[in-house]
Amino acid sequence: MENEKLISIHNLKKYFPVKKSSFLQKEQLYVKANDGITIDINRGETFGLVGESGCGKSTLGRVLLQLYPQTQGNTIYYGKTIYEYKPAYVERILKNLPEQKKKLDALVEKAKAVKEDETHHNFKADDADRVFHEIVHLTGGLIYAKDLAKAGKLLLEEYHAGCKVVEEAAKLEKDSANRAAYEAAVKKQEEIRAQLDEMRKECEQSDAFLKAEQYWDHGIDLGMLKKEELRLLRQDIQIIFQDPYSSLNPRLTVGQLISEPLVGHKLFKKGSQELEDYIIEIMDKCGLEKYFIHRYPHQFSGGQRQRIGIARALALNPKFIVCDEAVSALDVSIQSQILNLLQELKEKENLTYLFISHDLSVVKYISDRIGVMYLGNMVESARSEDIFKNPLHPYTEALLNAIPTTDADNKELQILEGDIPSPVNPPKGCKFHTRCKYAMDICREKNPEWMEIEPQHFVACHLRKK
Amino acid sequence: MKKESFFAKLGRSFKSLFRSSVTGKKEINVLEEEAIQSPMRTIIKNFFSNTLAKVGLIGFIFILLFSFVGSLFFPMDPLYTEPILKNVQPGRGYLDYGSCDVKAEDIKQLASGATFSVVLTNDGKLCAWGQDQDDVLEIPSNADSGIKEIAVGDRHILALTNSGSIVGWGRANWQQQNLPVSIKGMMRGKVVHVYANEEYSAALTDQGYLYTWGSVTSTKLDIIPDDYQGHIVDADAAAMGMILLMDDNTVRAIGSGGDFKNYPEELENGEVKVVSVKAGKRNAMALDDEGNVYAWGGTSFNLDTVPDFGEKIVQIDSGKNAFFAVGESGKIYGWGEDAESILDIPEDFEAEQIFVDFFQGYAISKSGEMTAWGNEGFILGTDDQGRDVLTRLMHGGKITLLVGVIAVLISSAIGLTVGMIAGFKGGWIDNLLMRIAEIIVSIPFMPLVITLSYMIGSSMDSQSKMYLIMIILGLLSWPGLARLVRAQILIEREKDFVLAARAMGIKEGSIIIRHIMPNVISMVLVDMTLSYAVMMLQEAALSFLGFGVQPPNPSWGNMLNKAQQATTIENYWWQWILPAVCVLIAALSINLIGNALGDAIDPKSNEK
Amino acid sequence: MAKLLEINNLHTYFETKRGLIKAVNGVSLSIEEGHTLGVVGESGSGKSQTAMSILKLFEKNQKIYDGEIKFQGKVISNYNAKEMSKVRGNDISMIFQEPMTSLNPIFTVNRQISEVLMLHQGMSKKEAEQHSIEMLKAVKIANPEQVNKSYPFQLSGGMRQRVMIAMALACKPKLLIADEPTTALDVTIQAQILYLMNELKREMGTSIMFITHDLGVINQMADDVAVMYCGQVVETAPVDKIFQDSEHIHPYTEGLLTSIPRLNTDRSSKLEVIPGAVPHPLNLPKGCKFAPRCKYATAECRENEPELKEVSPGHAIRCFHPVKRGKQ
Repeated sequence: MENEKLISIHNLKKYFPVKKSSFLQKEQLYVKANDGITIDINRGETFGLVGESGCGKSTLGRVLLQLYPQTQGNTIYYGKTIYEYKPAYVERILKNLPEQKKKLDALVEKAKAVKEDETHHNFKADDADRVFHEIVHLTGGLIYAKDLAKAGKLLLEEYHAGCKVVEEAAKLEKDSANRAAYEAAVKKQEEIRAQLDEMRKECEQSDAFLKAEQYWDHGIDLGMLKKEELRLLRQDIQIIFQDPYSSLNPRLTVGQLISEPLVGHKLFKKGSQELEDYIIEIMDKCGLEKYFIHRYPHQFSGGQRQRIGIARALALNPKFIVCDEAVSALDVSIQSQILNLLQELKEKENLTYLFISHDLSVVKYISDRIGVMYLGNMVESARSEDIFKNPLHPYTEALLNAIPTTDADNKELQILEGDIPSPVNPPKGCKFHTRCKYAMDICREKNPEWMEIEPQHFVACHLRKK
Repeated sequence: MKKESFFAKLGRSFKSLFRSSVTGKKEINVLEEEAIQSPMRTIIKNFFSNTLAKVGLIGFIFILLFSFVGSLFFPMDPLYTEPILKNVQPGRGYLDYGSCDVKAEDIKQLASGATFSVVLTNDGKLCAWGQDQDDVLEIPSNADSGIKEIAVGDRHILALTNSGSIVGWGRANWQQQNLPVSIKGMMRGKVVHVYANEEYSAALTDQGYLYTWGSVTSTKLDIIPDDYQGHIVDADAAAMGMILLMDDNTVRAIGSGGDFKNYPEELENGEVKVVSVKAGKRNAMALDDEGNVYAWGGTSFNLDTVPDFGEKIVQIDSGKNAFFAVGESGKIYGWGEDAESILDIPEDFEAEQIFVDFFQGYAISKSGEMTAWGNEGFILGTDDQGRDVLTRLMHGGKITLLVGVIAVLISSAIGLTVGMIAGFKGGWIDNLLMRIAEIIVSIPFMPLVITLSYMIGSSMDSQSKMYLIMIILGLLSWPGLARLVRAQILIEREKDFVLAARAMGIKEGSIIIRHIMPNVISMVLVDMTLSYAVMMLQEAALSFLGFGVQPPNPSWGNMLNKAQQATTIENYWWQWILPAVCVLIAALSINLIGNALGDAIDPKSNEK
Repeated sequence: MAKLLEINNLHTYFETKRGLIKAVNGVSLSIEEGHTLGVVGESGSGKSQTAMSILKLFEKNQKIYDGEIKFQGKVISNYNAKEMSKVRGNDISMIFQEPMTSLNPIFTVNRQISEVLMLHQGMSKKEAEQHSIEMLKAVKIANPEQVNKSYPFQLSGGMRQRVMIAMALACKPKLLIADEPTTALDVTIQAQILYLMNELKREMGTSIMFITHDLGVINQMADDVAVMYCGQVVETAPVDKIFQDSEHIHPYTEGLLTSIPRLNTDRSSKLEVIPGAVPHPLNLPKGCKFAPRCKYATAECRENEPELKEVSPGHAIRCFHPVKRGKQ
């Protein structure tokens, strides 16, 4: 499997403010739904996300799609390059690179200053980190260049040249006579890149430089997009909801439901024959009969509604779909139908899924890699076989043992004592220590790091620290 | 699907009321039918499958037809009042002479009061019909036979017997039905004629002396100049005066009707020979021996202008404000005020004789046929000003319903706008608007409206006052809807399908229009219906207290206003129960419709 | 062993505007003393309605049309409301899926448990409070005195379900009906509650009728299993027979077992699928209700309705052609 990233999430945080209980309450409290999550999702894979209710897995899916604004962190999308999409923020940053760097330095200073007295909610360090990533994805190591203005100018030129290449490539596709222009554009970009390489060599080859250099990857930072840019990009990133009853507007027919986003993204003209043909094609792909097109959602069973939801997401030809508990509300016999459909579509359409579910066996069946969440944190992530064969985090282990199975060896369930703590006021240190049977002193003090213990197997647990 | 007629549907739903719903095969068809139904059609179907909704709808349509179509057929002059017709009980048949079984040729005399008529036959018998006020239709036993002449006032009857005595009955507030002993004692001569009109009576003796009694002092009818006495041969009684025919065929007048006395000179100086005199409220007329008609008095209704008949007149008669003449050809002419249809004279009727009093007219043809015209009665009675309650109910309904509609439109427009802004914008704008809404709801409604209506209203005519009421009602009652809309938007905005639409990359604008508003609008519709009923009741309440629609413009509320008087409640039920019933039916049917609409829109109602 | 509850040919229907919904359509079941009967089925299979019929917790348009329910040898299906209220909460009690909505939010836990005790056991207020704390202890609540004084909203989901169980068991009922008691809970909390229920059953000898859609939970909890589909029981058997060693199995049960992915399901293989969906209750098919979705269905299945037939002792299947286990 090629390990090409499609989505990269770095230090993602989503805090929902809690309404203050009185005027006297000074401190603003937050529900820490996502508390610093870092994962990469690769092209063509299914990334499963499991956890109990309130662990923030659904929030993660939605924040990733920017349906809720992220509180902190960066979400980079690689399905399109900045050359193809031309988001406005690229020029803004590159044109004012020296100022941006100054701003970043100031933030870093502030973050350093605060570190001593660890207040409850301190976003300063996160701010610095976020801004660093915002810039570094465009500049790479050149953020440490001596002449930032020049670097910015050069990068901007490179960006324009890159855009030109994309344009010429599109023309070339239509008309092969344009080959010369295309090659010229490519050459120009290469020239500029050579100049950039010169600049890089001039820089001090420090660790920081090399680290920053890794990030120069032309991905689109979703958090930086303007509203309209984001809206148009939604074509690529879709979501299927848990509840097929509430996620379909009861006043629209199946045809209207599927055509709405198509018309909204100006892919088809409203009421055109092509649109109808396309809708029927999509419906057929999702196992919906042609004549359903004029029916209303309330006339369908749960399974069929979920197919409508899938058809609608699929119609836009997305690259990435978040399946948010997509089968949890369905009956057992329907669940397998939908799972099979999702698998089939993934292969046919070359899709990437983020599959969110509380049902471990479903997640295991469908996922290539699995992330386990607890109280807003990712506690373990690994290839799906590994996580079941060799769970490294005590919570994963407990979760696996708590699932009642239909297997013949009817083992007694292992009990994980205690309740899930409140996400408003999670325990200090490792959030799981209150229920963990292996808890040590350090667990109550320090938040464990996110470590790669085996290749592709990450865990956040003090027990596994070497 | 085949289209059914409305009646077929109605019939089917009627049948379904009695049929148990447990039937096997047919119900599957219902399912199939549902499979091709849009939510809107389901709502409509749900609505019509609700019996109460149908009752409400029928009630409301009835009220609408009654007020808007009815008022087209029964025009109303809000300024018209008729004191003699006040507080008349509901009833018809004022012209129902057929109930007396009297042949036309037997009729000696026919006279009408405000709401009834009496006929005197050649053999001296009496018969009466119409609305029985003050027991006026109950002819006393001593007037059973041997009657020579009758006189009818607005609500009393005098009968002159062959023996010369006067029997009277009916309304007795001035003892007008009863010849006072004092007059009887000093009477010079034998009574030959009796007269009566509004609350007084008069008797004329064979020596030409006239005596009046009853309510005569205020109209100065008790003052009869001495030089008239002894020379009077005939007279006619009107509300405020009497016109006298003297033995020299001239005319004189008595009473407070000043215009009466301006009779043309030729009538006074004996140039013409007057043979008959008649009097209306402010006007009088005379007929001379050559068939000419003279009219004088007040100028209203052109009563002083005699039309050009082009033929000789043989008989004249007068109603309250209308004059009639019969030509040689038998044609009946009438002019004056067309109150209570008194000028709807039958055409092509060859009259030999006519009898007109107040608002009833009768005619006998030469061939012995009989006909009648004028006031047939009041189905729902009259109010304390003598106005037809039915007509006023129709026109009042029009105003009450209209006030409600306009107030609801104003309040819905404001409520919807404010609610939408608050719901979609949120933040401080939301906060501000909701605080304003709270301030508005905490304003005590009635006191404010009453004060406003005093302050601004006094300088306004009643029409603009009506609009003022609508606007005040509208301006003060939007917060409820605004809150509802805001809350609904907040709920809808959080719905999964809205989030789903956003995730699809659908524009905010079209999310609002296609996904959020339809659900909000249906709530608004239900709320509008329900608040319409409230507005109507508010108008009624305001008018009831005397601050809404101002009389003489009717509204159900100000018609109910009368119920503030104990006498009205005790004696004149039709004046307050009927508007109350109208308000009740209208408010009830609108509420039924609103509730049924709410149920029909609620998706849960589909499940059972 | 003695039969605690017997349901014979029970029919419970809803009268609706659109027709008669046969929610329970000829169910026969029995629960033995001290045993747990797992009732499993998809939504709309009539499993909850069967439970409601036992306690006669009916909606207005719902009625038992036929059949009888015997509890400890007495026919309780024709009890009137007054007689029934003596049975409810005392002999038979029930816990529901949503612990938040089935507890009254404005009363303390103590008040809610005590109320049952005072009503059925005639305890004084003091005794009831004492007993209430004991019950909370029995359901393994760490700080029973404190919880006893709390309001439901102050408790977590798992805690609330424990309180519900404490309340249900307060009068030491002979039968506890648990309608999807763990569906709304998280896996780790579910495991706690299941463990607790098994323990209490062992200690108190209460029989349990455990309703769920989750076969895994059934495997964990039940002694006997009844599989329901479209208002009928299609298969009853001891739990082991269903999950492993019976010779025959109903095609629907087979479908349920194979269509859920298990932890050891091969990822590359497709999941077995029961095609189609549960038929609309107003539009039930003729013949075997499962025939339209059954891959083994024959013309006979589409015409005639099979009876629940015993294939081996304690194991009955409503099918003309039960599937041989070896086949899968």
